[in-house]
Amino acid sequence: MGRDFAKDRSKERVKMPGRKRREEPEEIGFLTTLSVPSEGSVGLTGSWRTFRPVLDGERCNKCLLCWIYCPEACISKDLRINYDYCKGCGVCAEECPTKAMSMVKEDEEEGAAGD
Amino acid sequence: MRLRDFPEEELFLQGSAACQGCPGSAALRVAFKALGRNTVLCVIASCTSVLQSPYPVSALNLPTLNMAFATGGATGSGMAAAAERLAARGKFREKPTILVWAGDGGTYDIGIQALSGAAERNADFIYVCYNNEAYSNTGTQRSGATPYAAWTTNTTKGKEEWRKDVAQIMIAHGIPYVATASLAYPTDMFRKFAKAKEVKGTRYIEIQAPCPPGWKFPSAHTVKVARLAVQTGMWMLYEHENGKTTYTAGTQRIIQGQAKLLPVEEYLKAQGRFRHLFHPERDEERIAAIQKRISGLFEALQFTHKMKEHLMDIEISPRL
Ligand SMILES: Cc1ncc(C[n+]2csc(CCOP(=O)(O)OP(=O)(O)O)c2C)c(N)n1
Ligand code: SF4
Ligand code: SF4
Ligand code: SF4
Ligand SMILES: [Mg+2]
Repeated sequence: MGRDFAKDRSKERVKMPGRKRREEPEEIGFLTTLSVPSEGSVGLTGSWRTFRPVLDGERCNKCLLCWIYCPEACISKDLRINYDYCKGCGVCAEECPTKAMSMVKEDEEEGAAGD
Repeated sequence: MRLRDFPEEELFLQGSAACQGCPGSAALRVAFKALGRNTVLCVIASCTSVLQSPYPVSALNLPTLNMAFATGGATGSGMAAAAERLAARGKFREKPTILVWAGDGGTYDIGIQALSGAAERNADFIYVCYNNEAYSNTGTQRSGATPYAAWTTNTTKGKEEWRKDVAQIMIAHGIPYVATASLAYPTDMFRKFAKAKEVKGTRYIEIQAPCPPGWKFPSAHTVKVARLAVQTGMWMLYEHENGKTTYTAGTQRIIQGQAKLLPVEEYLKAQGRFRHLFHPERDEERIAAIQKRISGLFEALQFTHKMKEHLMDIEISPRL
């Protein structure tokens, strides 16, 4: 596929002609306008959450609506939620036709263990 | 295409800078699934420039060119010309799809000149306007796409003008494919992108993009508001090709009488940007004005549909 653009260039050092009129090139750090595709490009966005979506496998009819509607691509096609990045927006629970997905307050779910 | 047949691969990478419930990232996901990896993207200054996340990383796993606000049509034309040349020199196994992605400010207002020029030349790319009906990135200022009576930071009592309709302006350019889409109807949106991919020339797709912070509704309601827009007739789903408009999905069902047109109030009440129409007291005049426009249009479309059913052999343009 030649997906060369995805190569991490941010570590490449670029030599520029010396500005101090010396023979030796001067190293001025990385110089590229390319950004590298990456998950978690602003970090672990799961920390934005106050409510977390919890899936009840018994009720779920595997309609995949939560998968396609999740604005952040946090639900995989086999319906696993990635809590590292899930922002807790609630779209998946709102759109779930069987109420298999529900939003649970973060500290309540872990409440008992949280002492 | 059923949901379960949609590609699993995500070219929008999670953990981006988009707000909770962002319609922009939601639209990108479906578009990328339909167009696939062999796509080169140009993003015009907008929320999409920001939600990619700051340099040197990006949430968009496609080659992306970030370009200035007014330049969507011009950049798309240049990229299409470059792709054409490289293809002629045998540089591609398969020629990539050129996709320009701009907001409504970048399309309706500052970008329309370049877009119109590109369309007139029928430059070979897909232009997407994701329409969140305001300049969201800079804090919700009005645009030419902001609907009548909607609050923005510079229409604090509600916009006085009616929105313009760029999809219809693009149809008037005579380009080969124009479509509108909604986040609430992903299979319809996917089909339109997949179809646009196969067409040569300028293709225009406009996606209504309900924006939680800009329109003032809870982030969980992004899809719900998008659906209400279609059900109340505030947003219409159609595609236009070969001189003919075909209404699709929810809009088609209303026109063909399989679903009822919901009162526009249901859409307006779901969003804080229309709150002044209901509080402190009901603004009957403006609510009625909005309803009248929609009802009038749908009555005409329903009438045309019935006529067509009864007089199958007489050609009637479905457009008004
Ligand atoms: C010539 C120019 N003027 C102003 C700006 C600042 N600016 C960047 S994005 C933006 C708003 C874009 O609105 P829209 O196209 O609707 O996209 P949205 O942010 O709503 O996604 C503005 C005003 C700019 N980048 N260039
Ligand atoms: S809460 Fe929002 S971000 Fe999290 S999985 Fe559901 S739709 Fe995705
Ligand atoms: S929307 Fe609900 S029922 Fe459908 S797949 Fe997701 S959790 Fe299951
Ligand atoms: S302001 Fe609206 S369109 Fe922009 S990133 Fe936030 S939710 Fe998305
Ligand atoms: Mg906008």
